[in-house]
Amino acid sequence: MLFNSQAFIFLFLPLTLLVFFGLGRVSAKLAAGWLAVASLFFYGWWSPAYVALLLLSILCNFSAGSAIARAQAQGEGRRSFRLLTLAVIANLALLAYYKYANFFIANFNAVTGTGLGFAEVVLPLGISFFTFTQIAFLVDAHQGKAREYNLVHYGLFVTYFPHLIAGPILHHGEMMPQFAQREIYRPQHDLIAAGLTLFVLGLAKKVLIADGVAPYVAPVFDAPGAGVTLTMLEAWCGALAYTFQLYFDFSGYSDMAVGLSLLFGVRLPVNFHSPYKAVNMIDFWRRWHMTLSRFLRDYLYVPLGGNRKSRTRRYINLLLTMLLGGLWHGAGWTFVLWGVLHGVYLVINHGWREFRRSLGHNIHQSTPWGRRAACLLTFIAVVVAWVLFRAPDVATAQAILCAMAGFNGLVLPEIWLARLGAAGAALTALGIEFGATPALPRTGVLHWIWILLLIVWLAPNTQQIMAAAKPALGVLNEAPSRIRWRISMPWALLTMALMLAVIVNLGRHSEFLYFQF
Amino acid sequence: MTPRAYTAWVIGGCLALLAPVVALNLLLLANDHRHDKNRLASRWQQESGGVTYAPPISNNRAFKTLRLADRLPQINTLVFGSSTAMSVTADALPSGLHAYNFAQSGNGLLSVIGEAKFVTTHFGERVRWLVIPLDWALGFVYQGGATPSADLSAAQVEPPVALPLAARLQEALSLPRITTLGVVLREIAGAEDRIAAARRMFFEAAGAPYRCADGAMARDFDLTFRGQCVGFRADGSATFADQKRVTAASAQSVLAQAASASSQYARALAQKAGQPDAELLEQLAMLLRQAQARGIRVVFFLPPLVPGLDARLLASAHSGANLARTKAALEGWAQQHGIPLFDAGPSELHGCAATEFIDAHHALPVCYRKIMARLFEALPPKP
Repeated sequence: MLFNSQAFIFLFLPLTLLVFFGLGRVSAKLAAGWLAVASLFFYGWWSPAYVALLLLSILCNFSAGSAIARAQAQGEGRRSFRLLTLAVIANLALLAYYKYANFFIANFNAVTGTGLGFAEVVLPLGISFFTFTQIAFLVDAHQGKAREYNLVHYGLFVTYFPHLIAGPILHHGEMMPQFAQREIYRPQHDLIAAGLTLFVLGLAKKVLIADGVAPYVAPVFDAPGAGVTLTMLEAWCGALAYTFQLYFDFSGYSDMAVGLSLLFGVRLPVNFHSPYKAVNMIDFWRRWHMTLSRFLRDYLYVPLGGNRKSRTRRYINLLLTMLLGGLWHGAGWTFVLWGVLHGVYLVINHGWREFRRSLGHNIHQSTPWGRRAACLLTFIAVVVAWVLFRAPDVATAQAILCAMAGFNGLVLPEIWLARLGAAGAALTALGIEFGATPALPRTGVLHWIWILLLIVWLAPNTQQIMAAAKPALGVLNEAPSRIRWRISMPWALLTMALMLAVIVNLGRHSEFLYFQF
Repeated sequence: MTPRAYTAWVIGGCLALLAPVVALNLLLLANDHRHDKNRLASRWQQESGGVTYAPPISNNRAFKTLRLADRLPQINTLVFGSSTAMSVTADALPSGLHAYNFAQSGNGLLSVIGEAKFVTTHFGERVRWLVIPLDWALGFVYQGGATPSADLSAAQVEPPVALPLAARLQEALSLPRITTLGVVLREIAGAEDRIAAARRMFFEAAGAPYRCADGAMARDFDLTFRGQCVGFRADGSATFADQKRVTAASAQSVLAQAASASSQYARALAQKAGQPDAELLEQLAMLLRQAQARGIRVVFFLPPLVPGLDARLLASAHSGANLARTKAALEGWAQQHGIPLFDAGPSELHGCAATEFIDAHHALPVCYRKIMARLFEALPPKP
């Protein structure tokens, strides 16, 4: 079921909320059970067959986690480690079967010339998210940080529908104490008001912005495959359109998840914090898909040695972490290259910092213009990497990147020549070419681009706007924004207007980009 | 304001605004499904000879099938095609040819072949001429595949089927439906007798008959375009009354956009580098043989384009070779089968002006009259 579907908004959500609070009056256990069952129904709406897989994964991981915790409690560290290894391998094997088997076999065939076959497997929705969530639980159980004896609470922690399909990736330690609180089973009207507003803001980001800019993406990314040679303007427009589509789609989903959870009185961790305002790549990864960054840091980078070993080892760890982060997003060489590129970005960033430190510079000091230039440079680097992320294959990504670099020349759409009149003639005299831009059938994308650039660079993000309600966990401390939500009639009317605008546009509802990961 | 009041305002406000919208749209949907508008509109046109259509305007097959059945005793010529050919009026054809324009929105050449085969098989006794546009501008000549079988008998036109409640609710909340409701409410608000207007909109199949500017009768069975004489005349040709015309001022801009490398025409030509689909040409040849065996004449033509466009595209680096290839292939195919192929693409050569177009490829009846006159003049006498 999609958050942006009428069935979810008008049936599933109200019914789940009403029954949850109704049962909450009688018994917290019943209410938690209901929420877990509703979450399974939410998951099963897409494919009932995979509910069994999800339940099996939950049961096995709960049993493994309990056994690990018992072994730890009995001081049997080696047994705990063996159990952890076995459980992590089982989780990764499940993920490998559903997500990577075809990729590995195709590459094996390509290298060895064999013709091994493998049945087409449908990727279960959210498998990367619920697998990672549970691996984190197992590792924490082994380290003695997590212990859970209540299957209903554990099941709810994994299946909890606001995060189940596309995150945020939850941490056992931040969720279980909340499920244990009595007050979440009673309506908390301040949180409901904030949650509703945040859900509507996220929905508007998805339906009005991400879906609005989406039609400009495919023509550019499909063009090289159709034999079209892209020009510089076309390639940049396509890459920027995707940059905004992905951000508003995924951050919109995360806002909706946080808002929905708040309706139930539960705070989820924040997942985005104006990533395109980042002034370097380290900063970017502290702002983009923050719960994945946290997971990769805590459960991959740190166990690999993090920055505790030599400088070279640290860079290798960074590259490895980002490579696997790329592979987590999808079984394809474009994702691997995207991860490696971000790893290289981070290595350069750390190297640059150390170089400046060696010169005696204070790396925390910067000028406003310096920050702007750094922000622009970071943004361009991120856009370039998104081309790899979106392209269907490496050859397409290469073609688009070459066009962005200007190898195919700068050609403005032919129809602009007539529109620009004398200015068009002047540009032609200056050597600017007007001609075919088949991948840019509608030039309205330029308006989207400049408006969205202003929004991502200048506007506060939803967490800053909603700061008064403290809607999420782990929000970075920053100066409060000028636009601040509060419980007032103007905000009620604005939320209502946005809700109506979204509802009448739901007919064209589309899937969230991050569902595929 | 308390948090509870805030939530109540947001949810209550949305529900208060949406509830009447949904209720009214459900009423309109129920009204749509209560009446068999295709049959009612067809019957009214048969009786009045006026302008009408049955909703939705983008799907004309059922209405035109019913009209064809009614008109069959009076006609001997059928014009096929998509909206490109919808402006061909009966009076554009030479005397002795009594035509019904069966062209439908978005009707590709493969569908046309299926329809024409049905006509030659079942109505061949009456229909002696088939007029078929070979439309490359919409990419139809490049599309291959099997010919969809067509049944143009009136009996196969199904009455409307009511949608399930969930689908109706979804549609009632869709933007197009809400936009239409806005139009309906504006019309009711502007009517002299608002109650009667509301009754017509929500409970009756059609509005009251009225006269168009040219004196023709019209009746609207759809909710949009009321009072605008939008629809089909009794000869099946479209009025295109809702469409703007190319003006002398906008002609250059229309031409420049249409001739650009990113235009739909350039993209259509680029599909198969201008090479018409071999399978499609074979299907056309089969139709031709089938028709000729029954003594039916088939007239093929390349539809007119806004003056200057054909020449601009032929001279362009991006599409010139593709268009030349298309024309050569179609001309060669026609010669191979011993039939003439009339190229109306350079419409300026046949006396058309840019102001006789809606856009770059939709000519108006005034242009089509000149085109059809030249086309039939150029036809060799019947062997």
